[in-house]
Amino acid sequence: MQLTEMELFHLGEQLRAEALAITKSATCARESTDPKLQQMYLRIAERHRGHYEILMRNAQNFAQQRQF
Amino acid sequence: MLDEKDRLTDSLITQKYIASGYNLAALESANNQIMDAFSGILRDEHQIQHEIFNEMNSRGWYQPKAANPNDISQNINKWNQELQRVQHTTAFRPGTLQQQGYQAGAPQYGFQTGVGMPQMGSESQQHTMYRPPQNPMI
Repeated sequence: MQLTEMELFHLGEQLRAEALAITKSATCARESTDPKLQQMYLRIAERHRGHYEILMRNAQNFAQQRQF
Repeated sequence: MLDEKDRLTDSLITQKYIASGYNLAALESANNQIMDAFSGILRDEHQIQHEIFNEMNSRGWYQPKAANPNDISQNINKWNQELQRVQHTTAFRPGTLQQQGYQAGAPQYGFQTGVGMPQMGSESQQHTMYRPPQNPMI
């Protein structure tokens, strides 16, 4: 089954939200003075980056299917 | 400039927003692969949210008030009564199905266990019931 318009819309929305979350978490890590929280923010930024990659992989899988 | 509490609160609100987006995205997915991706990430967003909550909670910045034990008991009694009412109204009564407008072949609900969801006929039936409509035009 091909990617639906609704799925494409949600992929875009979540990619946007994840990108913002990566930036915000990295900013929090820089601004925080608590070493424990700094580490937590860095870990969270990495997890959001992982989510971004999963979403991109899924979008790319459907783009490749379309070509054949 | 935000302080530590502001940053944690902002992170918590961001997590709630993102998780809501994944919940809706999973609900509105037609492809299994996409639905699984959204659901999997949603689970991880919940864990991140909980990690942030624990940090706030341990610092005394987010301490949800405990429910009154009497209120819990009263609510459980109320919910039990509601369950009995629902069981009574949906009980299978031979001879009454036709006039109540039930369709032939519709799953019959059984409440032998006393709790939980209505029992469905088969796995495949359950599968088709929970899949969103297919859209071949897109």
